[in-house]
Amino acid sequence: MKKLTNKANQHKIDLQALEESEARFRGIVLWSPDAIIVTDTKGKIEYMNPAAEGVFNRKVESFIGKDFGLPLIDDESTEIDIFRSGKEPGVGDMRVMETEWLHKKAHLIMIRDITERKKAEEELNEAKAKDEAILGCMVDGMIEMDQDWRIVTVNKAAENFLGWEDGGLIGKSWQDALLVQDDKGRIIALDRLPIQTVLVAREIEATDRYFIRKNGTRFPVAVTASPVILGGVIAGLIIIFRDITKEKEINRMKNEFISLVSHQLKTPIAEMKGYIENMLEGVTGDLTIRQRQYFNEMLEVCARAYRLISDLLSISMIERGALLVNMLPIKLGEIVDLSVKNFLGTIKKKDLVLSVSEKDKDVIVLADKDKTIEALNNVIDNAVKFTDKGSIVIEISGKTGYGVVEVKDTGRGMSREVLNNLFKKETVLGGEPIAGKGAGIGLYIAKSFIQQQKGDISVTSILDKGSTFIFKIPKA
Amino acid sequence: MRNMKNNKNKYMPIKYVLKLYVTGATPRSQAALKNLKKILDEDYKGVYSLKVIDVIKHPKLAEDDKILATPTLIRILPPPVARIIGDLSNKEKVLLGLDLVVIG
Repeated sequence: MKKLTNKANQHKIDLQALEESEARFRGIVLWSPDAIIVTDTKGKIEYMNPAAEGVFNRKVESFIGKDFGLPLIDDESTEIDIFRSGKEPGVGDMRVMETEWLHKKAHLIMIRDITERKKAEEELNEAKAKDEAILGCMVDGMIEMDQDWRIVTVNKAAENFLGWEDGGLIGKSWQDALLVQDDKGRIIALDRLPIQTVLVAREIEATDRYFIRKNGTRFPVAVTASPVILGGVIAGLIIIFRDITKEKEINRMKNEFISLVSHQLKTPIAEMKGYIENMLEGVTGDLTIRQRQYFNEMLEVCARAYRLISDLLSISMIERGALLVNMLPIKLGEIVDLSVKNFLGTIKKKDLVLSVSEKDKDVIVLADKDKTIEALNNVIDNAVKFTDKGSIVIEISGKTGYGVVEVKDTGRGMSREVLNNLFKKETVLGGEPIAGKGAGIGLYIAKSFIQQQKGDISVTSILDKGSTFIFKIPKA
Repeated sequence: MRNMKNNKNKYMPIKYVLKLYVTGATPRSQAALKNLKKILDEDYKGVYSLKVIDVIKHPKLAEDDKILATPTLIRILPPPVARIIGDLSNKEKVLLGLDLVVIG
């Protein structure tokens, strides 16, 4: 009797456990976001969960008892196209397991809607294919590095330029893949490489360096570096570069041509100037007032032409690295006086007030007298040209280690865009034709001359208020 | 799968009528067509008739046949009707699923 009771109790417990298990199973099937279809072994639909209505966009009741088919799976799952009534077809991931349903063998088929994921994958593949096509047809070299300075992407052009045509750059660190030299053949230290500047300052930098090929030869490059920023953090770096050997050669030939032509032109201009001066001094006899006026105009034209040719010669020498400076101790006041006297006439004609401070005139600097005067001439010339009323004030001071000359005008001032391009030889200030205007290269020459003497020129300006040019030259 | 090769009874040729539902030119549709053509041309040359139905162009036909997903391959004749759905790359599974005999 006791045995029978125990058996009955056990049966009750087992039944309860089974019911609980079935309830859990039903709960999972009912609430699953994936479509779940139960078929018999021949593929006839016994059950479809509520999620199937959303996946197929159809009422499940109309399918009970109908054929779904025998599911064929390759490996663990297979992709299928979902046919949705009245909607765009989707893509599904189908999995099958053998199970029991109402005490009979059955197939439990799970279909997960992966339409959005597939769309994203296709878009990614399309983007990748486009990127590869762009990289492949780029004429410039492209190298992408991660935040550890390891090369992760490189295009064909970069491999060819650097002599790594057979590959092997991917995975290499910057230091192992290529060395960078300056124009004097010195290896540039790691912390001075353009990539370091970009990673620290987050700026795009264009620079002129030499890259070393795999075989040890070098070639000049123009380089642009740009950080890759993800979520506000620098995740890598992209470098675009091109071989500028041909450009440098053309530039060299151009500079040599300019130098040759300028030398040839300087002499006849100087001779013409000499003849005109002689005539004005009366060597060929008295001149009428009108003749004197004409000869003065001609003298001015000669002077402008001579200045232009000198400027072109200077540029040619600067660009060829052939500029020589003769550094001697000289009083800053003397340089200022010698330069200012060239402009006294023009300043008076324009009715401007000129003020030259007497303080610190005896500061002695180490400078090339002629080139420093020429540089100051270019700056004062600029101030006079672009000041229509008011004053030009020149102040001298001796700051730590440097003699400083400030040229302040009350002229038109300059915009930020003009300031950023001011000392480049392509820039021409202003926008209207002004008598006496040169080729716009005077400030470029001025800065080059002063920098050659280990000094510098800077400028501040406010539009419609005026500008201040600041010379700094090392003290003797 | 029944192999008729060694059967001593007189052999009667069978004409299979099949319907394949696909969805446009998706990779799955193209793969299914390619795989099925290979199976049929290898072992059923001249004894099958295949109708390919694109559910995008003929949704009504797909609705009538209660198609839920593609590729779905249906054996219409000879009876009994059989239906398989999913990957058609495994020849043995396809033949088993549709209960096709190998002729040869």
